[in-house]
Amino acid sequence: MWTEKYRPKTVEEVIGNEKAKRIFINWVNDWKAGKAKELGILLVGPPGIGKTSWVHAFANSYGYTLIETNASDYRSQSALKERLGHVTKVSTLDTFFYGKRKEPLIFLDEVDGLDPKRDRGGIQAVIEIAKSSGVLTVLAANIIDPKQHKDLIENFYVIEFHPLTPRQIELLLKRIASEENLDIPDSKIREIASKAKGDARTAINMLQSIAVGMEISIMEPTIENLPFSTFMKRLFEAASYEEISTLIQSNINHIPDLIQVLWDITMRSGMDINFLLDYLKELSEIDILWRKINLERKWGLLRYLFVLLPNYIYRVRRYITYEEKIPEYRFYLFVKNRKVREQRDEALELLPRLFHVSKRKFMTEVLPYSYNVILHDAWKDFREWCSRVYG
Amino acid sequence: MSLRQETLWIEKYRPKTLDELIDQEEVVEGLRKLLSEVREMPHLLFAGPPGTGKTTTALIIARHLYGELWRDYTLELNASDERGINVIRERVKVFSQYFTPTEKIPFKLVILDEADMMTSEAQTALRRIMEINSGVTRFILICNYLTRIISPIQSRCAIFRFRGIPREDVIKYLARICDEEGVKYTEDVLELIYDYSRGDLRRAINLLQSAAGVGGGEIKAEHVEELVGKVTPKVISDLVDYIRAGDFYKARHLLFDFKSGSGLDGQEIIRLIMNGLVEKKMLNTEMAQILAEYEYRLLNGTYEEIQLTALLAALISSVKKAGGGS
Repeated sequence: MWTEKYRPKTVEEVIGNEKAKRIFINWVNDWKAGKAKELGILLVGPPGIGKTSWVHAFANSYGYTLIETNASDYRSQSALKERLGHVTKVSTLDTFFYGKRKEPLIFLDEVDGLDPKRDRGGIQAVIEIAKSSGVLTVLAANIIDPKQHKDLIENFYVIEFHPLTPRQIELLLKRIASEENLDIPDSKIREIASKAKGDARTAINMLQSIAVGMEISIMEPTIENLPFSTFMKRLFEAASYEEISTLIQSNINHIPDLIQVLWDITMRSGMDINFLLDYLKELSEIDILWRKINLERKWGLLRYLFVLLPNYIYRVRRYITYEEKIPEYRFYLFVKNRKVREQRDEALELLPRLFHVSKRKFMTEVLPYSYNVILHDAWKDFREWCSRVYG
Repeated sequence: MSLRQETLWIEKYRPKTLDELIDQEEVVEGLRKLLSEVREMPHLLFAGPPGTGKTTTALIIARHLYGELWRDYTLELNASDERGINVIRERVKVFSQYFTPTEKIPFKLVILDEADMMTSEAQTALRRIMEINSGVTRFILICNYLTRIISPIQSRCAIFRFRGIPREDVIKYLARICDEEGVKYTEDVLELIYDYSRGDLRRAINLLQSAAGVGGGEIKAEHVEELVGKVTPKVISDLVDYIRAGDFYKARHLLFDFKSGSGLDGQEIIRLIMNGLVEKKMLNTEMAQILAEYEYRLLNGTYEEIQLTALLAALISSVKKAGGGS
């Protein structure tokens, strides 16, 4: 595999993302000096643009021993602790072998692939290990979800990596072509560079395929592992029902987000109310089928989802086009009631305990009667909300 | 914080000793025996309907054991608030760490309320926690339904069953509160409050205090009736009106305003909608089936936004099919 053969060995060899790399090194310097606020670094960006390569090259150039896990490893709380818990600043064997001290660097690739069920507590374990070991910790993810990865975002310094430019990929391909003594016209290289859409790994794979005589036209950039926004755009531009279906089958990881976005799109489509009611029922059936498949691990049922979802999309497309907007409705209420929620959370921390009831009972049985008496002025917005809701 | 616990009558009139506790003679008698030899106290399990004095009794025991410093030695947890068994494990662990039993204080106390809200897996884990910590910690578990507590836990506890408080006792208690607060009342209106609260003293006292507030020092039947309507929040009653009128967008808006503000989960909200439908005499078998179906879906961890809006859609369709808006 050329992608492995030409993986950069030193930081100088890593292409692109100059700013991100500079920030990375600065942060590590701060961290060494004890000036960093965060526990470690979280690299975020689409696949194939050099996140993993960068960390490998960095470790190599700056003399760290890399201790790595990725999504193929089992990463529950206990598994992570077992694997990484013993790593401390002085524990590496390299001290013996090389005589000089090599600090360890913990690298957890694809943290967004932590399975909330199977890798339960994994995120918490990552944070604990970074905290207690005092070892430089770097995480990488393709997409981060503000809700699901809240703890990571709060504890790690987020650095974004961006797709490479066609020009950068061209240079990379030319270098490889010359080392491999390939005779490939510049026009062909430019074509690959533009089709790879910023993904170096895809580009190198295409180059290798061409080298063995494959035609570039049959190697459309892969439709697997598309970034979510590209995936959505492609779904809404797709010419046929079959194309929609293929896209979904190749990007199963996006199905949860897809269902949410479809809900939002449906809600703001402005379609006739009778249609809307039917569409919502249909979508909720899709949602529950998806849950069943996951919960009961009945993957065989996916084949029906691959019919129902494309079918839904194909029809709902008539009412609305996809724009990259924040899911409007959820967000609107989230922001609108922000103060209420903050004050509610404060009140709920304090009051139910004081009155020896659960938070749930407090909301349903105590508050409706007594919000005027027990919510003081610091919780004004919450009190107003109560009077609006409880009357 | 200007707020004092005494602002709420349920706190102000919460009994502080076993003698003050009303009506649970069997429980009280049993507890007296246990508490006469404190060091031998087993884990306790209190079962019974809401508002019958289970939490109160647990707090009385804490006071009996530790006097005014009871808060230092007591950890109150609520199984329906603490999200996982791990949270409980961590908190119990931290709580019982650094504690050396003494002659006077042989153990610390953990009060775990609403223990029957835990899944059986969580209860199995709880059983381990109880065993591991039993050297320095005693548990009082509180539940509504004894059958929902797994038998290994039951067998490790002394079980006390609390029964619903009889009419006369509730009314006597309410009258005493009214006298002390200088609130005017009639026997009839207290009877009314009892009818609405059915032996749940917490609910009865809450109702009494609100009615006294509205009536300006006098409890009136009309106010009680009005307040009982509030068991279903106004927003739910409005929501049901919109469902009846087929106004999906307004219904949806209210629903999410309520959900985001209250932080209640979808299941809880579906139950409130059920109450609202009952109250407006709209609930029929088809709707009950719809509600059951959607609550079941939420239990399986589906998306709440999607399922709740779909629920509204289904309810509205059902109303329309039945002949629209009548």
